[in-house]
Amino acid sequence: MEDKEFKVIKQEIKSLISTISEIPQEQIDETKDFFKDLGIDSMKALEIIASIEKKYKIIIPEEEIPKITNLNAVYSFIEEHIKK
Amino acid sequence: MKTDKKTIFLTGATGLVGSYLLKILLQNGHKVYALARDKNNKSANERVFEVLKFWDQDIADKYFKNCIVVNGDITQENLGLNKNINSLLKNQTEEIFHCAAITELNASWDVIKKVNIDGTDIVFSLAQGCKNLKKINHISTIYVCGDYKGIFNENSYNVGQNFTNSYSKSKFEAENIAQNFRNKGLWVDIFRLPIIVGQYKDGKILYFKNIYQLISLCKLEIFDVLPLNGIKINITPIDMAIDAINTIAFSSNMIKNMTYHPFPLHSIYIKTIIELASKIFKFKCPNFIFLEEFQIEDFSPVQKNIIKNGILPFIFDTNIDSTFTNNILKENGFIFPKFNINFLNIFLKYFKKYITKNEEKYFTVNKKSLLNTKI
Repeated sequence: MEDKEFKVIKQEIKSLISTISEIPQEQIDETKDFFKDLGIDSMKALEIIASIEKKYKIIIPEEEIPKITNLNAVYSFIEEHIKK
Repeated sequence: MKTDKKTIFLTGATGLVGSYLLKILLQNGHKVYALARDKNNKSANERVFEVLKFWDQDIADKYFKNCIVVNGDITQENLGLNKNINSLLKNQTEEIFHCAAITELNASWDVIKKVNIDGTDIVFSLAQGCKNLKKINHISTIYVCGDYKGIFNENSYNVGQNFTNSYSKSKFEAENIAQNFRNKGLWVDIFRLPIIVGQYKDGKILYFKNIYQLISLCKLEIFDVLPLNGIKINITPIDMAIDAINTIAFSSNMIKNMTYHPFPLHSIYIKTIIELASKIFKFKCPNFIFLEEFQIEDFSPVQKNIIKNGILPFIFDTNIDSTFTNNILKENGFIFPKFNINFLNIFLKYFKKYITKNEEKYFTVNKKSLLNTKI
């Protein structure tokens, strides 16, 4: 995948998380923990993951769900699966 | 409503119930010690003022002077307060409203226990030392009924129920603490709240949880079917719930140590709410089936988690009865209005307005890149 294209996807993901969590994008740092640092509750986190699944037409396996705790983890997962 | 002016200690002042209660207490001329924490780089004082302002700018401007924000934490010994504040509270408090709680249904047990159970014990222990205290008003939830199949009224408590989420279990245990302190001589009234929605007149609400989250999930259009056929829920607008609590809490000649269900007698089908929401938000309404017909195996792991944590908690066979409380309220001149489609429209439209505003505020990607994108 083109770097430019993935840059847009990253922006989309950040925007999507910002909209669901109601946290301004500039506060959603790549390494900030969704739960501990950003105060996102478990239902909101599931809503975020479900939206990502739907948008990028992927299925996140059970064992991967607990690992998705920050923006970097989301990026890595999407990059890996879209490339496939 | 005319009430005697009192000095009140309120916990959970920045929460949904606590913040609205604060507004009503200040409006009625009481002096309020409001417990809150510093959070997200905001002081406790700023946070309390902000939520008060959210509900009513005029009341915030006019009455905030009668609110003393106490920076503390119910999980700390003596609420983390210094000796001076502690003795001030013990000397002055006449009434306590204990609203502080974690309301997330599936928060980890260690975290929720610390706040909802141990925190209640700490607040009630402080109450024991209050010289002029009349009573504690403990805010609980109808979810203490757990999975009980039958009629659960104000007198019902331990009916052999099991719990499917940490929130219900923690609030059940907190009521047990309330009972223990009743046995030690404290006057504790318990108010079990149902699902709270926005104000009756305009749908305004501080946080969108519970039924709002269910609507957000439906809005994603990831479920073609939902096992919510025939499921009814008790809901009440925040202002009605607090008015009812206020009416009972400040009425004279009340019997000590009672439990109340301050919400209307009738419940509403979830299906009715979701169908109406689908028209307002313009999402494809799922089909409603019975739980027995529902095949959870057909869903992805994320969807299964959502069903477990965000949908199944709405399903219970308990018939929550609030006749006793409604009779008491009626004797005191308070009657809940009928919640018809018009009211549902109002609270759903407020939610829609909020979501639209948020999408405009936070969703700021280059529009060209968003072809075929739907959130």
